[in-house]
Amino acid sequence: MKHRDLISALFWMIFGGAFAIGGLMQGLVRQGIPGPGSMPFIVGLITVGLAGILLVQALWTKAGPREKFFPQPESLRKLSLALLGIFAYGLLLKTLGFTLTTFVFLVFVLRFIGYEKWSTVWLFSLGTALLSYLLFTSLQVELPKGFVGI
Amino acid sequence: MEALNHFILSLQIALEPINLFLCFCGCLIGTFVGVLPGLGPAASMSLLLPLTFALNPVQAIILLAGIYYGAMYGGSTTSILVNIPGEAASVVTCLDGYRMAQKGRAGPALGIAAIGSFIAGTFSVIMLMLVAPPVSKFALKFGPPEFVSLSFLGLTLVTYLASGSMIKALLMAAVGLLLGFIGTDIVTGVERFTLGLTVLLDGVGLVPTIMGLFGISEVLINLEQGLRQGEILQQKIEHLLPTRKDLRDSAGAIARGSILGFFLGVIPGGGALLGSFMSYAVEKRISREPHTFGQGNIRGVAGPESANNSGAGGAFVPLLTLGIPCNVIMAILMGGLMIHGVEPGPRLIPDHPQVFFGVVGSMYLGNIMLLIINLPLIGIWVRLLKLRYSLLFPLILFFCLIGAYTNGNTVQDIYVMMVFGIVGYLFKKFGYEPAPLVLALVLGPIMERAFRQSLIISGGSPMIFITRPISAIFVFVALVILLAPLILKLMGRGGRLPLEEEG
Repeated sequence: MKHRDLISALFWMIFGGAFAIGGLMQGLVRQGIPGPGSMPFIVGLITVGLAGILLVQALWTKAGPREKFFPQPESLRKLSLALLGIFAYGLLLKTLGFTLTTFVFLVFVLRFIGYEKWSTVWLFSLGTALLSYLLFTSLQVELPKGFVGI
Repeated sequence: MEALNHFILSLQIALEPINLFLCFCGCLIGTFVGVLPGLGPAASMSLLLPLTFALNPVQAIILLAGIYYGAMYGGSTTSILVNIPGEAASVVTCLDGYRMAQKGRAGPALGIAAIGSFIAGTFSVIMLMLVAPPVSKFALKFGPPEFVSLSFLGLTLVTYLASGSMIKALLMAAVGLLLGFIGTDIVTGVERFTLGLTVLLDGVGLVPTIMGLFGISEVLINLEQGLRQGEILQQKIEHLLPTRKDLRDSAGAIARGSILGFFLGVIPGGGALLGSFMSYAVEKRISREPHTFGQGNIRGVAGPESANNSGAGGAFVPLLTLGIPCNVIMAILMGGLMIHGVEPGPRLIPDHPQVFFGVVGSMYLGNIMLLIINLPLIGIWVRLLKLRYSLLFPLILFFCLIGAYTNGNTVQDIYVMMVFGIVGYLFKKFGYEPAPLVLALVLGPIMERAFRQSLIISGGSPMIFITRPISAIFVFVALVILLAPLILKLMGRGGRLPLEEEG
């Protein structure tokens, strides 16, 4: 954990520092009252201070055996595909509409991440997409219809 | 007499058909997410939050609260049958619950968990009704400085009770506050830290943040570990009603767990989790046969299960009377109420009595519903446990996607959720707990407004926080908590509660 603590401490230092500087630029005091930058400045400095303590603690800690970041050879591939699926869902939702996007998304994750059989993939995706369409329509939830109109 | 009137009022509200139906839906969904590992109550509640927009505040909180205590109830099932806690507060139930199941006593373990939960849940509702009004009356004396100090104390307690490193928990609280500053400044109307993104003008959305941190990240962690599934005991579940001896053995543990759970639930950071751990520790400590704990002792199930359900009720006290959420779930409820224009705090009971008494009434009835949902329907929940994770995770992802989108009807919220999903995943890898971040994110804007109001009152002097007696007490207690681990370390003693050791 030593290396990870060092990396995260440095990250929080930059993160807190950015807010402190941003706060300073927004103004600490405006017309005699606390300005919009006052709290971000204070909390930004506190973050830098806490990150500093974590950094010192990490430097003093004896380094243990280094853990693998991804526990399995397939981990990175699965994570990337899941994130790609989420990103693509957002990208296609307006164009393809809710039902079709949901169907395509489920086919993608079930087959390429879950390694389900094609028959299960088609059945599960179609069933979920249609059932959710019926559910959200009955609940009058506004969802994008896309070019197909559903 | 006043208490009786309150009781009647609470039942009147809860017995309205729509409220009754929503309470049942909440309990059912709660049990469902409690049973299923991977979709905790926090993610489920934030997921359903947009669906409550069409409801009034009373109906919304009845539904959301039902999910919360339903999940506390349902969490025990997976702990006992699969040795995987459905939610964090059921971790300790695994120790003896699973051992009982291995010895062929899954039925009595599930039965005593349900009975203990019912008794404790009812006890906590009664206590909530008795304790909340006087606390709320007292809190009416609070001004902006007291709220700043109280929020500070609340965040300090949350970080103190976090199970990992306290510095990391404090960092999470600070980062949550910083994220809470993003958006349009409420006093001056100035845009702050939005990076020019319109989605951030109203601040970082609570719903996509929670779904990312708790829903997406959990799926990512499970995916990288290879879609493994817990081994479900293949035995038939019989004798759900515990024997007389079981009941006699468990009575004390249920009573102690109920009382302990409620009072620990009231403490910010405590909630249901702390109560269940402490109850287990107490039962083991006072037992004549401490060596039987971890080997299938029924008191190791009855105590913690009672405590976590009682704690779930206790957690409503600071939220509904002071406006301080003491755990992530309460933060979501707070966010939900605020979306509906109801600000939790000392004015909630006088201004919106129907919200407070509606929740109380629904919790009375909800506890009875949960008993019915959990015991006779145990077969359905067990079957649900057999659902493959490769079929479950696409559903979780899909629910999160829809929840994030319907939150603001914008795809940008999906991207915010995705970013927080990655952040939550990294938090797990780097040993950070996201709970203090979420609490600070909710409290941040309220705290900032009160902080600036305080300084306007004092003419810019920060001494206002220590010259007003109530505020000074809060600041003093917070500082003691912050410095205690350091002092104890210097004295050569550990300064944290042994949450991890017990788990």
